[in-house]
Amino acid sequence: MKKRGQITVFIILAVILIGGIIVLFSINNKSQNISGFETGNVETFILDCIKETGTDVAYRVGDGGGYYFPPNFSTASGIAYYYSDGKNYMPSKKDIEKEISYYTAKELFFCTKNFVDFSDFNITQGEITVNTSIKEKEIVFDVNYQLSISKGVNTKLLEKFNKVTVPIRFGILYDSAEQIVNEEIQSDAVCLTCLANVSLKNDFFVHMFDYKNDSVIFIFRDEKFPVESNVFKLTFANKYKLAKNKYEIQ
Amino acid sequence: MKYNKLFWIFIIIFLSINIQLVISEDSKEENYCKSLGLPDDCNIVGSGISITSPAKTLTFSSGSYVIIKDVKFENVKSGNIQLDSKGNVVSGLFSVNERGGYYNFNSTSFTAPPNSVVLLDKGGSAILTVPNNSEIGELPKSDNGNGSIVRYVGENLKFPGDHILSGKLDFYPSGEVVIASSLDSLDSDKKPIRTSIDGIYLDLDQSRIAKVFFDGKTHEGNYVSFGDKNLIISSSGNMIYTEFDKANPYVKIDSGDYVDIIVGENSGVELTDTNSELIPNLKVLGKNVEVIEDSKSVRIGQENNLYVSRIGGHDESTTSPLRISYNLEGEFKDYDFLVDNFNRMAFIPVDQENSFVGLETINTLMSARLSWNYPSLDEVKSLTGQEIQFDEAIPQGTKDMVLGRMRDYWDQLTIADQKAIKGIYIDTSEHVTKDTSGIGIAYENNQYLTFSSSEESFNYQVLVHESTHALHDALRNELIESDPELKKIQDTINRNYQMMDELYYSTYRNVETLLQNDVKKLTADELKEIEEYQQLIVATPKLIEELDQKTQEKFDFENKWLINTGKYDKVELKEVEGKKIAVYKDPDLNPDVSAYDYLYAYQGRNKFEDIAVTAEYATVLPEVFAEAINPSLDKYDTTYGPKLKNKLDYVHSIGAISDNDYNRVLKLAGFIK
Repeated sequence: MKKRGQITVFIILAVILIGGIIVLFSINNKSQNISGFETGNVETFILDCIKETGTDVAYRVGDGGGYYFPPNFSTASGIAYYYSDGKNYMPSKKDIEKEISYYTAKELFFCTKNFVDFSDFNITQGEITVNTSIKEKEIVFDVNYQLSISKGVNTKLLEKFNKVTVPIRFGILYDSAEQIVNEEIQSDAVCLTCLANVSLKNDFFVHMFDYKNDSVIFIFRDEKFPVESNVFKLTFANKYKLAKNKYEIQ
Repeated sequence: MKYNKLFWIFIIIFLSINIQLVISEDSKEENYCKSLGLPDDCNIVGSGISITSPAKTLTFSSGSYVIIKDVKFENVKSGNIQLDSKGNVVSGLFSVNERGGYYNFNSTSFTAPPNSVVLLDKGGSAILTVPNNSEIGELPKSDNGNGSIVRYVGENLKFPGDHILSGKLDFYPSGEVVIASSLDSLDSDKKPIRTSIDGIYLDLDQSRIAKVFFDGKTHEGNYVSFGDKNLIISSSGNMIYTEFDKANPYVKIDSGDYVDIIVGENSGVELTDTNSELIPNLKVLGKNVEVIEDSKSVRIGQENNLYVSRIGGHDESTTSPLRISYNLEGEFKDYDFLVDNFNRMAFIPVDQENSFVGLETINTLMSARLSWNYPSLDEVKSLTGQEIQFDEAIPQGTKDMVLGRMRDYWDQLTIADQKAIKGIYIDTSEHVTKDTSGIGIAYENNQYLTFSSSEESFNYQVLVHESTHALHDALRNELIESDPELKKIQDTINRNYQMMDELYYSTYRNVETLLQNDVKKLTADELKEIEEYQQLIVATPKLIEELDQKTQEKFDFENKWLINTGKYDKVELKEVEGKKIAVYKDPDLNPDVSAYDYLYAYQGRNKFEDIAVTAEYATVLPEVFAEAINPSLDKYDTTYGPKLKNKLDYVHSIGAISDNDYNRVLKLAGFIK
């Protein structure tokens, strides 16, 4: 009997705990409701903007091999070199996350357009900070966007928009590229079977083409999960030592 | 009856003379045994031979012969034979006359084509150096299988079965045909003698040999087996190097193509599907095989992975179509590496991915998880930084052709040209030629290029021409942007265009319609707008002219250009078959050739075309350019030649032509060595 009582207390505590977490989570993701009026449309609009801007930036960064603007070591058309002269020049996943975060924060403004579509509200904005996590099959954005939304005498504060997820397989493509680059450090050649293995396993396509006489540009294309029929691409270039003739390769 | 008698008398006299001659010749045949210091029954007779006794050397002169133990050496121009103490031939070196000969050495008989040189070496081999293009009607034969090795050396020698040999080939007494390493003998220039059979160069490591068969079947050891529709190369221990020439019947080799197959220890390849509409299939057996296709080497490396390396020194734009099939233990048991004629490649695990590649045409689909150099918008954008747009009426095959060419051409443009181009639009030839009669358009002041998509129109020459327009405009725009006076005029022009657009689309167009119907219905506002529109139409071209004039004055490059070339008054547009073409005003001059300081009439239209054609010809037709500025030629025009040379210098100074192209023209024209 005593035991049954203890179990009931535990269940009640668990329910309270879970309930508390859900409430906290919902506050974090939405708003601090100070004066109780509906700002749902504004919130949805911002979430859509984060998704749209984050996707655009991630696509551009993928196209640039992890960079929004071409790094110093890149082709004339701005494709980042990942491998050259036996060395790995890939940007780290952390660096790419920072790149996406920085430019998503910069560009979010162009999506929200100063909230001109919400003339019913008086909206003032604070600083935007974005924290990006590149996962295997998705990119997660945690955005701090301080907003004060007023309507008449009522004011509502919004700040955190966490766990905004877009289904971009950046992580898989990045890991695959890293695998290839690490392999090529050993061989200084394009490993076709390695590329076939990794692209079949992860279901993406590889397009390659010659660049100058010593480099190959790679485009990893994720045709499986296009966002609005737009294919996500990770583009990079590898530069090889040029063998002069067949006997040198032996 | 009388005639019959005479006839028989004539025959008898004729036979008598011949018998006399034969008796006389027989009477000249000598027994050389004694002269050679050999027993009288040594069985060596002949005629016209000089004997050196102690050395036992028989020296030939014209018309001489010798029969040594029933083997006759005749039709010899000059040379000698050495005998041993028993009267057997041990060595010799002689040249064969124009009749050719058939000889026997160490129980091996062989044909020596006319004018061959025969070396019988002390090791027991016969080496025949044969004039180019000779025919060897019969292969060497050994009486007992233990005779001499016979080697033929020469270029383009035709053997039975219509097989063509260049280099050297050995025929063993056992009947085997063998190729030896190029390093085992040197030619007269002390270079290794490479061997080619039926358009395939074959070589081995030093002092190594491989057998050659002409049955297309599998055999033992190191060998190359030539079949009617297949080729097998197999190694049991040595490296066998092959290189395919244009003449080979197995792999399509175009000008500049290079295909090389290296087969190493315990490995082999079989080339099938040759002489058919399919891409030849190269089946790879074993790990030690390397295939070199132009600038790429394909080989199997560690953990059975297939690697591709870049190599230098070969063309990259076209390749020889080949399907390379591998069968190795690994994640994929069978996979194909496909190469087509346009340097497109695909890697395809068999049974997991589908593919189709055409042998000749680019208008085919190639679907593969891994594709290489297959032109796509993405790839060309990554390479050029340009978003190429196509008119929606252009079919996929034409798009592939344009993208493939753009990929190949882009790198050849100068960096200045590349940077100047802001956009590329590919339109149907009908659209492009409709307004301009041309095949490419560079819209002034905005550096956007439009090209006709037709196969004959979109080429490197047109790209260079239009890119030069883009560069010229880029330099002008840069100047206008940086100069307040010019910028102000440009802004006014832009504003005028905007206003004209607005008026046209809002009112004027409608008013035009109204005017046609009922002029009385026009309102005062509409009339005012019409007036405003018409004023702009008059004012804007004047502004454009003013901007052009002022830009020109401040633009050092254009200034120099116009001082050099003067007025554009020697060329006019003439309508021919509904198209306007540029011709010289002087009717005696052919518009397609150089006159004045123009390389062809179109160049003399205005400064824009003058500059673009100068860069175009310097890059793509340097010989034509060089001919027009070469002071050492009789037809050199002392008035206009130097002007044209100045133009070359000027386009080089703005980066419209590369240093290489510039120097090439100067070199061809004799300005530099």
